[in-house]
Amino acid sequence: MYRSGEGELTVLKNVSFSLEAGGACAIVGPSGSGKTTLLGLCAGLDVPSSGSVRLNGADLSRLNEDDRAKVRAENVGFVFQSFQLLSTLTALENVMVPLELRGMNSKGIREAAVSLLGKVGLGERLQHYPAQLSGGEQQRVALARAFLNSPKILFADEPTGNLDNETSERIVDLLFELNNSSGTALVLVTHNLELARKAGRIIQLKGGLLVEDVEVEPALP
Amino acid sequence: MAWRDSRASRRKLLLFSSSIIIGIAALVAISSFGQNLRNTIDQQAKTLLGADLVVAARDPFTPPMEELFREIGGQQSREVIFSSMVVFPKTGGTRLVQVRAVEPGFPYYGQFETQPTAAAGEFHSGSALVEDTLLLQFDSKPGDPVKIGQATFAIAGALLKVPGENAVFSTIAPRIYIPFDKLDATQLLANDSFARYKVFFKLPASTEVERLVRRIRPKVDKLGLTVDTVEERKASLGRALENLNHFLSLGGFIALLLGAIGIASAIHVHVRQKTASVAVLRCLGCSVAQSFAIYLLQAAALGLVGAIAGCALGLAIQYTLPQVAADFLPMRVEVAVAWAPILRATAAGFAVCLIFAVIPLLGIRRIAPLAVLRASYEPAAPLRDPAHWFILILAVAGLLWFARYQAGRWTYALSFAGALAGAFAILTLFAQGLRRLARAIISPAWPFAWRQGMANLYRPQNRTLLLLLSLGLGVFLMLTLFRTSQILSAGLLPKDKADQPNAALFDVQADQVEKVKQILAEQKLPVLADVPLVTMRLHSIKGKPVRALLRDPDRHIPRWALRREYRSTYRDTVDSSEELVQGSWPAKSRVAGIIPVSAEEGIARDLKIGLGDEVVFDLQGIMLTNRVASIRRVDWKRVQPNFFFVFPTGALEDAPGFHIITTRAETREKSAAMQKAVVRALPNVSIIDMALVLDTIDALVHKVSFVFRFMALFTVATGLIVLVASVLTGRYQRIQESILLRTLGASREQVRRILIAEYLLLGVLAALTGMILAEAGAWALARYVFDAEFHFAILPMFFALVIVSGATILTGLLANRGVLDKPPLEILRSAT
Repeated sequence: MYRSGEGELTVLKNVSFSLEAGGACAIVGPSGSGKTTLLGLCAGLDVPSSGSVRLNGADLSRLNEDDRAKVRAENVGFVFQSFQLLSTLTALENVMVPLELRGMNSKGIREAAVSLLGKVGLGERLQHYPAQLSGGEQQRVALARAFLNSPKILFADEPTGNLDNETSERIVDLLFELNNSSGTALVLVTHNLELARKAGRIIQLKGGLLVEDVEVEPALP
Repeated sequence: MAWRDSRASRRKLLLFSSSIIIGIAALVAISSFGQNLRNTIDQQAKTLLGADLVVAARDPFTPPMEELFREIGGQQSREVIFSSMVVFPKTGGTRLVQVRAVEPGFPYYGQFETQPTAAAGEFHSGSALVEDTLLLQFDSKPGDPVKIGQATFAIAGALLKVPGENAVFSTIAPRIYIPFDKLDATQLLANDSFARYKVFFKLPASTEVERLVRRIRPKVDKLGLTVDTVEERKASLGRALENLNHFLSLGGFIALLLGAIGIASAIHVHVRQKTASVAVLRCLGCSVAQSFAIYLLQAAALGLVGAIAGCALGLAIQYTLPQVAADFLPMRVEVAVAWAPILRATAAGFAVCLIFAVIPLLGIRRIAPLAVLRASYEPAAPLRDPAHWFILILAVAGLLWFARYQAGRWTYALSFAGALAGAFAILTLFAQGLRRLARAIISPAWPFAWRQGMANLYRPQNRTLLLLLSLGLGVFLMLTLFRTSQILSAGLLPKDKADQPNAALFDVQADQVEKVKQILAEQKLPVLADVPLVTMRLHSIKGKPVRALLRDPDRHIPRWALRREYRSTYRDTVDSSEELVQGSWPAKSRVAGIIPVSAEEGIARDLKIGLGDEVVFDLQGIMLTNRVASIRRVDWKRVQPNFFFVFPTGALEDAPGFHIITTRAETREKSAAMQKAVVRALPNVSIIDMALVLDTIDALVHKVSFVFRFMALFTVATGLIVLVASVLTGRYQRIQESILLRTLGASREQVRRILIAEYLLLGVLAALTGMILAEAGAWALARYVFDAEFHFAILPMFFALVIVSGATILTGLLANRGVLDKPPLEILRSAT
C-alpha cells in the first residue's frame, strides 16, 4: 500500500509466489502494474503493509532497515536499468563495494573483483571511472559487482533497458552464464518477453494482481 | 531562457551567491565607516586640538618666547605636562601618571568628558580630574584625596575623554588634570627636567592660522619651539585613520576574494552539469554567443543577489565598527549611511564576483553539439582559448586595481596581492600534495569508511581544493593573528629573569641617592644599578651646527634625532646589555679637550656618524666636544637604563644631573610597599614598575589584536559559508551515493561514518595547512618585523585542529541532514 497524492494506493494485492535456490523467473507486465514495487519488496528495499516476504529464511517484513541492509549485503545482488554505479569510484572500486561493506578488506576481494571484471571483458579498464565507460561497459561493471559477493539471489531491473540490441545480448548472456555457474537465483523484471522467456518462468502482473505464473521453455542459446 | 534554465539549480546557486555576501558586507561597512570618519573629522576638526594653535617647548618659557606669544595674541591657556608618581592615600596605592596642570580656557573647542559632568569645570577651583581607569584601579571615587608631590587634591571627578586624544593613549599614560595655579604647590617642577610646556591659543575667527604659522615659523624654529595646528592634526589623523581603514578593507577584500572563488567553483560545477543542456541547445541552433549569454545572465543575477544582500548586511555591520575601532579614535563617530562609498563597494564587489564567474563560464563556449551524442565528450582545453587568457589577465589587473583602491598605495597593493597570491599558491600546492599523499598512502587494509572518506578527497568533482583554500586561508589568518599577538605579548616584552631588575627609580637627585639606597635596604631590596644621568642637546655634528642642519632639506637625518634631549651616562665598562661592535671603550677623560664617547649603533646610523667623527653637545650652555671612539649594540628590551651616548669617567661627574637606580622586587606586594615608601619620602622620584609595563603592553596588544580578529572573522565566516554551500551543492550526488550504498547493503551507520571520515579529513587537512602557514607567517613576522623570539606553540595548534575539524564535521553533517533518511527504494524509481 502506498500513500500517493490524496489517498492511499494499493499497488499489489494478494501476490504470492516462491523461488527455489538457483532458480530463475521473470516478472513482466505493463507500466504501473507493480513490477518495481514487487521487486523492491522481494529485495528488502521496502516492507509490505500486510503479508510477508521471506528471503533465505529471514522474514524481511519484520526486520528494520539496517537489518535488511545486512540481509541484502549477505544475500542479494542487484543489476539496474541505469547501471547505478558510484560515479566517484573506479570500475574496480565499484565492484569491490558490496564485500567491503561487509567489513572484508583482504586482498582476496581485490583479486576476485579483478577476475570478475576480466570475465565480463573489462580486465583492461579497471581504473576507469563510470563516465569514461560506455553504457554496455557500465552494465558489465554492475554485473561483476552483483556477483562478487556470490549472492543467493540476483535482482535485475530492466538490465538491458538502456542498451542497444547487440550489447543487450552480450549482457543477457553474461547474466545467465553467471547465474548458472554460481547457482544464484535470478529475478528479472522486464518488458522484453523474449528476455523473460530465457528465465524459464514468467510471472505476469496486471493492475497489482498476479494474473499468470507459468513455466516456459527456456530459449537459451 | 536564462531564467527558465536556472529553474532546477536556482536554490543551489543562490546558496553560493551567499558566499560573497560577507566580503561585500565587510567592504560596504568599512567604506561607509571610512566616509563617516572623514565627515566626523571635518565636522569636529577643531576639537582634535581643542584650540586653533598649540605652541610647545621642552623648557620653561623664556622672555623671547613670551614676547612671541604676545605677538600671536588671542585667548591663551597654558599647560605643563610631566610624569610623576601619585599616591592614593585612601588605599595607599601609588602609580606613575602623567600630570597636566592647565589654565582655565582649554579646551576652547570640544570639552572634557567627565563623570560627573560638572567636574570638567569645577576642578579649576583646586581639585583634580583623574583618569577613570585610575579610579577603578585604586578604588577611589570623587571626593577622595589624591597626593601629587607635596600637594593633596580632592578628586573632582573621573576623566573619560580629552578632546583629540584616544583611549589607547590613556592606557599608556593615565592622565590627571590639576589647576595650573596649584602646580607650584606640588613642588615637583623645581628639579624636574622632563616637563613639556604648552600654550593653547584661541584666535579670532578672522585669523588665517596657516598664514600666521608661516609668518612666525622662523622665530619658532630659532626658539626651539614646536607648533601644531588643526590642519596639521587633521592631516596626520586623517592619514592614520586612512591607514586603519585600508587595513580593515584588506580583510574585507580577502573575504570577498574567497567568496568569489566559491562562486567560480559553483559556476564550474554548474557548467559541468549543464554540458548536456548546452549541447542540446547548440544542436537546436543556439549560437555560441547565445548559450554563453544565458549562463552569463544567470551568473550576473547570482552576483547581483549576493551583492545586494551583502550591501544590506554591510549597512548593519557598519554600526558595530565605531565600537571596534573606538579605542583608536579620538572622537565619537556619527554613523550615517554614506551612499557613494556603499554603492562603490557594492559595485566593485559585484564586478569581482562577475569576473570570477566568467572564468569557468568560458567553458560553455567550448561545448560542441557533439556532446549530445557522447557524454564523455571532453571540451577543448581552456589554455588554447585566447578569451580565457584575456579574462584571466583582466581578472588579475582588476584585482590589482581593486587592491590598490582598498590599500591606498601601489606598493601596499602589490605586496598585499603578492602575499595573497603566495598564500593561495602555497595552499593550492599543499592541497594538490595532500591529494597525492592521500592517494599514495591509502591502503586496502584500512576500514572501508576511512578509505572511502579519504578517497573522496581526490575523486572526480571533489571540492578539496576549494575547501582547503577557503578553510585553510581562514585558519591561516586567524592563527597568524593569534600567534602574532601571542609572540608580541611574550616575545617582545622584556623577560622577567631572576637576576635582572624589574623596577627602575628615576629622577633621583644626587643628594637623594643615599636616601633611596637606605629605603631599599629597609625594604630588603637590592640596588642592582646606580646610573648617573646627564641631559644634553646636540650642538653640532662633524662641524655642522644642528640649527643649520635642521634647515637643510637634504640632510637625511631625522628631525627628532637632532632636536631630542640626550640623556647620557658615564662609566668605564661595557654593560651586560651592550656589545662593542667597532672601536674601543673610551679611556678616562677630562672635561677640557676632546672627549672620546661611545655611540649606539642605531643613533650613529641616524645621525650619519662613524668612528672618529666629531659631535658637540650643549650641556646647559657648556659645549662638550666629543669624538666617536666606539660603536655599541644595545639590547633595548632589557629593563635597565640604556643610552645612545656613553661618556668615559672623569668628564661628567660635576655636571648637574640625576640618577637612575634599579632594583628587583620578587612580588607585586613588595614592589608596592617599596613604591609607597619611596614616594612618601621623595615625591619627585618616579618609579617604572615592570609588572605595570607588562600589563600596559598586554592591554595594548589585546586592543590591537581585537581589531585584527574582527577582520579575520570575515574570512572565517566566508570559509564556513563556502563550506556549507559546497556541501549543499554536492548534496544531490551524496544522496544518490548514500541510497546506492544502502541498497548494496550498507547500514546507515556505515554511510554516516564515510561522511564523518571525509569531513574530518577535510577539516584536519585545512587546519594543518593553515597551521603550517600560520607558524611560518608568525615566525617570519617575529624574525623580520618584530625582532622577537619565536617559539612553537603546541596548544593553539591543537585547539585550532580540534575546533576546525569539529566545525567542519558539524557543518558537513548538518548540511547533509536527511541524506541518510532517503529510503533505498528510490533507486528503483529513479531508474525507471
